[in-house]
Amino acid sequence: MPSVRLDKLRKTFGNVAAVRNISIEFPEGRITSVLGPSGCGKTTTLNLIAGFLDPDSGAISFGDQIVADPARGIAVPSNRRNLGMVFQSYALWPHLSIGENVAYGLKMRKVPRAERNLAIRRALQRVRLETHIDRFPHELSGGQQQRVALARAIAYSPHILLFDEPLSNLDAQLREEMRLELKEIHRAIGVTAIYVTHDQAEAMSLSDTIVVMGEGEVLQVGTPRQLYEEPADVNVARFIGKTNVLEATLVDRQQDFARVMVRGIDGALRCRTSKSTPTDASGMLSIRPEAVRLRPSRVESIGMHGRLSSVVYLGSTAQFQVVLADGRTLEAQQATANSLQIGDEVGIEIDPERCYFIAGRSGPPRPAQ
Amino acid sequence: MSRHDEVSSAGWRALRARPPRLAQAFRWVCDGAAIVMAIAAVTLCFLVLYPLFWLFYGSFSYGEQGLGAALVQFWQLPGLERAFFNTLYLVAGTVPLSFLIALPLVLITTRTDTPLKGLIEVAALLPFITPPLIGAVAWALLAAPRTGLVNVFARQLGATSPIVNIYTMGGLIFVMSLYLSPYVFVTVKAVMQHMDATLEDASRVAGASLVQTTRNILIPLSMPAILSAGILVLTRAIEEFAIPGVLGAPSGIYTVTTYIYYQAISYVPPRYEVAALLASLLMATTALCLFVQSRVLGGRQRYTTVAGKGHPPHMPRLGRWRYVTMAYALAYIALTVVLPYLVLIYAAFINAWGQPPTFSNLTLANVFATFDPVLPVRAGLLNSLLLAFFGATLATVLTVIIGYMISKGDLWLRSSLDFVSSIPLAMPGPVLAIALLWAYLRPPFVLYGTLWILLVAYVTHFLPYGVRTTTGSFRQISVELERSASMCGASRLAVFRDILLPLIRPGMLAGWMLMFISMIRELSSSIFLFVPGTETAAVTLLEMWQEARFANVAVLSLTLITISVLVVTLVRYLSGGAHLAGRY
Repeated sequence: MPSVRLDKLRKTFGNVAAVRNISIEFPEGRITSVLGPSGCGKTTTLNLIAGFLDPDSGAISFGDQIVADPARGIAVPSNRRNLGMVFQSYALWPHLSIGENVAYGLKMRKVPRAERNLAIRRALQRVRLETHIDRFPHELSGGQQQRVALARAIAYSPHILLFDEPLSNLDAQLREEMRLELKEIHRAIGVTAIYVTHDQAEAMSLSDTIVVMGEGEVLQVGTPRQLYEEPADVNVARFIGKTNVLEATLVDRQQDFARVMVRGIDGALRCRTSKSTPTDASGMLSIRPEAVRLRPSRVESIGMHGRLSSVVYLGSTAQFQVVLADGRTLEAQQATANSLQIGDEVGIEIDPERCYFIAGRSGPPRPAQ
Repeated sequence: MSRHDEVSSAGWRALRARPPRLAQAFRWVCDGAAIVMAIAAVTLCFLVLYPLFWLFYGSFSYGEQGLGAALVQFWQLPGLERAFFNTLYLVAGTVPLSFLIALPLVLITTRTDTPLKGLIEVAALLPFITPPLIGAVAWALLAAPRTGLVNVFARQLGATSPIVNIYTMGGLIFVMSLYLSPYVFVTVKAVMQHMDATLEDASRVAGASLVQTTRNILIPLSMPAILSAGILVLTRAIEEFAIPGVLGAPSGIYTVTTYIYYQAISYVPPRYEVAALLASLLMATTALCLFVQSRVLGGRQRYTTVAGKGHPPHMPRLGRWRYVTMAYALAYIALTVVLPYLVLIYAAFINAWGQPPTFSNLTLANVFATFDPVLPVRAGLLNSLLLAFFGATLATVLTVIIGYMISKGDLWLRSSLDFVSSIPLAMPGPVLAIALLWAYLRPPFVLYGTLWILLVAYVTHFLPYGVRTTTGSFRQISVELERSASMCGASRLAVFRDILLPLIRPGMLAGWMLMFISMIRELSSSIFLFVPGTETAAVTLLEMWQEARFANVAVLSLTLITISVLVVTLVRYLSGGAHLAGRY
């Protein structure tokens, strides 16, 4: 199984740069998710890998074979890249039966009939639809159609599997089931898989490595835990889970923790940060809502205070909004044990484990939506 | 895992095996596709632009002096002014009348609980099946002043003068409106049927009555469709040849199209320059109408009423009034379908014209006489069958390739092919025929006097319709269906062969069928292009009509209709039973 390497890839449409100079290596035999909001360039990246688009510059290689490199005049057409792909819209051919849909890639590879039938059966067994071989796509439910699309993509055992938001047309429960099934099938066949999605839960549960993209660039590559706990970029912190972002300056470090000064708050806050962050660096402090602990204001020992402006009951937890003295708001999330109400004065404690200081990127923080 | 690897590397090898040795063959196939597309594009351009050049050349060769003097001389041609005004009257009468006929039918079928609605909906389309020529002939058989059946029977009952006369401007407008009203019906109904009914509900809730809602909401929102249908009817009325040819010519009422035929082409010696100039004027008028229509439809975004949401319209109960609406619909069906076909059947099987239709007066002799080789009917029918079959097939092949290029090509290719292929829309039958006469009477392409010129005429005439439908079919196919095939390893050619072609097949068959039945009855360009020996069915029909051979005319008419119905049934049968219930 080859890895997939993108090298300084660039693609513009008219004046708009959809993908700017990205370099990523998708490790062989793993599922790697590409995550980002719509318009971040993730689908363009996938289309470049599939060969539906040609890059303006840069190179794409599968293992040691270069499949696209305009500088060297290489542009292997899609049909000769030996890829499998699962589309959001399923894209099953309506005039062919399930069996014929799955058979198509094998026919294109001139696989002999006996072997072909075996491969079709095996692929359909993997998605538990072997009894539907003679049905037609419109006779199947959405989930079944998506499973056939998967069977079609793996039937001819491609080296690389591409997924273009394959589950976003399914309802929530089905999506979760399909996620598990996908992961299991991948474990069995072990191809290099690239999974494009805008759903962070999907990316986190499916893959060991996630590539977060924004505005045509790679913001961070890492494990789900790294992305959540040590975001390299404010936008990553914002996109992966909720967060409060405050301007801050690093004061000093003590072992694993750093101390930062936040404008408008008396005293330094403790937080974590990357080992390479220099002292005096200015940047952003990301405080996860679950790091914000609210206390009835009577507790004297706490320096930060605010007034509750909204309480949303969510069952096991509740969401709070606290207005600080200077008008900024903090979001908090915690168990619903205490009985805080709108208008209450509260003391605020911050859990340093769930705060992370991101150097650079100064300037006013953009409001989280 | 190991098995997976085995198959995988085998497949990979199969894909990679292509480059070195097969690369040339592969490239050749690619080039083969490119060659086919290039041929199609060149054919299209030649078919359309070469005659167009000669038409303009011909128009400018009229008159030996300057342009001004030539136009004065042109305007003074005997009867031309009359023909212009007749066309104007005809249009001014036909457009309102066809709306007056069709709009109530649309409302009846989409917004009322009138009984027999399903039947009415189907029957309202039946005039489409009847070619205007046959409709005109049937109405002449019914209501001509001396020989019309109504007048004959009235005379037998003691009337001294004809009680109806279809050979008048009023008769022309009446028959024309009957046969053009389906265009209004189809266009407006499409919009009213799919309109979001909550818009009307909102009006009712706000306190408006049914009539007020129709007037204030329904009609204004349908305005783009109504305007578009109006322009369509206007264009059709200007370019119609058969109805004024059959009903106007006997009493000297010429329109521009019939004037070209009787006063320019059939004139001795033929006045080809006059014909070219008139044809160019007609073309300019049609082009203007089409332009206005495209602007009307272009502004349609303002009326985003046909959304996916909402619910179908309610059917208000009409109470006793629903029998009135039903009577209206049935009267329409009687006038457009029942009466004309009854008189054709009567004419085809009656012993002698004017006899009461009792069993003893019926005969099959007319049928045998019609297909006697003495008459040109057999030859004409055979010519038409040949022309329609090969014409429809050629046009289908051409339009599939052109449609593919338009829907998948780059912007430049798309817009230029789209433009060239829609030029024939502005060339009604007579105009196209005059252009072809100019182009193919002279070297290097002498086609006049052969069936080829008719074939060229038919293919060119119906190209735009074919291109539009195939382009639409191609565009409806999601690009992901193609992409998933190329992911599976399919080349461009394989994607076309395995995915696109099967998916557009139903549309292709339907397009072929439409072209076939339009070609088999084609009159308006054939009448200019035939010579003895290359008569078509419609041409012989008109010839025999002029010789007052009523029985033969009726038999041939019914034969043509029967062939059309048979072909429709056959194609339905061929494309039916398919498992794809339009789900892509």
